[in-house]
Amino acid sequence: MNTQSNTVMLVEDDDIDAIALEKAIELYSSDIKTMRATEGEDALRQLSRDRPDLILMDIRMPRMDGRTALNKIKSDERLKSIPVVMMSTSESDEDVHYCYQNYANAYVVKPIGFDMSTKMVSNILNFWLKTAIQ
Amino acid sequence: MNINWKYIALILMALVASELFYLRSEGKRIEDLRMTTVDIYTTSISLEQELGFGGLIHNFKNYVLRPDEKQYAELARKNASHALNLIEKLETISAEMGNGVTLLQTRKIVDTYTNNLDVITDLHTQGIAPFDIDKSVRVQDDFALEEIDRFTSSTANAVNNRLRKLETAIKTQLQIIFGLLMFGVLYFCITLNGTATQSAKLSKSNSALSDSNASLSRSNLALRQFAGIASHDLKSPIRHISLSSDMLKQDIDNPEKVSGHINTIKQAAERMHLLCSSLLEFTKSGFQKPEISRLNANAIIADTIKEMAPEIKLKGADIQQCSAPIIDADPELLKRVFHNLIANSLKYTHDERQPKIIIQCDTNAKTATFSVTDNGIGIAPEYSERIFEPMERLHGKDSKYPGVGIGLSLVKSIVESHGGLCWLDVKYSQGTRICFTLPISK
Repeated sequence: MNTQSNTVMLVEDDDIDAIALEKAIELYSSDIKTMRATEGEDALRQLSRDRPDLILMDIRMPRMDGRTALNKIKSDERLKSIPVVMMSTSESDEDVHYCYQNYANAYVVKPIGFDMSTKMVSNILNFWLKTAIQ
Repeated sequence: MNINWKYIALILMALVASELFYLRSEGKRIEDLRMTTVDIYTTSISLEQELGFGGLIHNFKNYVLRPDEKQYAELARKNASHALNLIEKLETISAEMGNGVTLLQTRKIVDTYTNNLDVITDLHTQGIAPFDIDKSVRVQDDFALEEIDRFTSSTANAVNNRLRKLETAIKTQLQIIFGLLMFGVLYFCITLNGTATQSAKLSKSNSALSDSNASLSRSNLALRQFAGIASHDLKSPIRHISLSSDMLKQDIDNPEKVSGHINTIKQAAERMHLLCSSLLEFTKSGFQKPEISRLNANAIIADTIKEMAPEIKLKGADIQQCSAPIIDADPELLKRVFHNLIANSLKYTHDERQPKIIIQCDTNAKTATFSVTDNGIGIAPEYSERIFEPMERLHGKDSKYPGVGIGLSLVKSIVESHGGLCWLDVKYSQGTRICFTLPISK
């Protein structure tokens, strides 16, 4: 798999979670670039300049939350083909429903512990980066 | 009246139904008794026929006159046998009706006639003339017919007595049914009357119910939201501790990183502690039913400012209070509202301005509209709804403003539990202005 030019965007307000994700991505492949946004508005600002191959986005964030950002990305002609994986601490039915209604490509619950995090990240990258390349 | 009229109606209906059932069976008995009367008369008429003209005595006399013609004897025997059957039937009815009367004489006469048939045959064989035969076999039978008459009327009387008794019983039952129905109608009228006089009370308690229903569904919604958000916010520090411990293991040889991870774990634990305290505070005040009393709002505001004097002094804030009316509210909860609003103003101060807080009040006939205005960093109009949601913070967890996002949601929850409204004044741009209404005391 050619992952050389791949970029993953992390939209996460929680620094610890973001560091753990970055580390897990690096463990999967050191060739993958990551870009970090701390909330929805920041993410949209960065997306107007750069185009990642995959977006991993938290739901509950200050200013613009993940649900609103997802809606904006998926209703933007230029951005909607980028796979977006929503990440949340809770399995709120309402959130899950909203995300899939708004064309989220997947909804995952953030695991407890770094080992589980690396497994989750590797599964996501394995599937969605391949899809993004095709 | 507290008794449910439906139960009364059910009991009445059951009573009336059982009475009707009883009446139905009694009706059948009356019918049976009437048939018995008819039976007595028809049977006694048949008996008289079997005995009298064309019957036993008639054929007996024909046999006396013409002993050669044996068919008269045969007919007389048949008549006798039928008569005995009929006597049996009548006596059975009489016994059933508790009437001691029997047809003893009649029975004896039938037997005598039957026996005398053989005597006729014997005398005729001896050559004795019919005239003489007649003399020796003559039977005094007037008693029998009299006895049948007496028997019939006395048995019919017995049946009639029974009928009368039954009819009296039925009349009583009908009176009971009528009484029950009248009771039902009366009770219904009384209840209706009661309902009419109580309708005001009812509609009052109805509206109280719907009020409490609204308040319940409001706190239910808040509770659901709150439980979801609380579990979310509590899970984050747990995840941090877990992630950092895992990474601590990996970075064990790098003292700088080890110290960073330990720091993260400590901060997560402190955050969990803060969250738990806030949760407790919210459950204490947020879902509490207000105990309303007449309050001087001025005194409450002054008390709150006095209690917060150290924090106000620390921030060097200038705080102004203007006159407020007498209102209906829970003193502790109202104090909590002002405390949270002032605390927010003290927290989100502008670096280049001396903090200034103004508490104002506008009143009309029914409501007092309070406002707490500051000259701090302000809140953008698009967040005017989100700021009131529990655990919602506009500033990230690691921002310079500590807290978990309980303050304003608690203010809103308390104001709404008093029947008031709470909002952010989006027109005000020199800082933050939060407004809320409370009912004025009548």
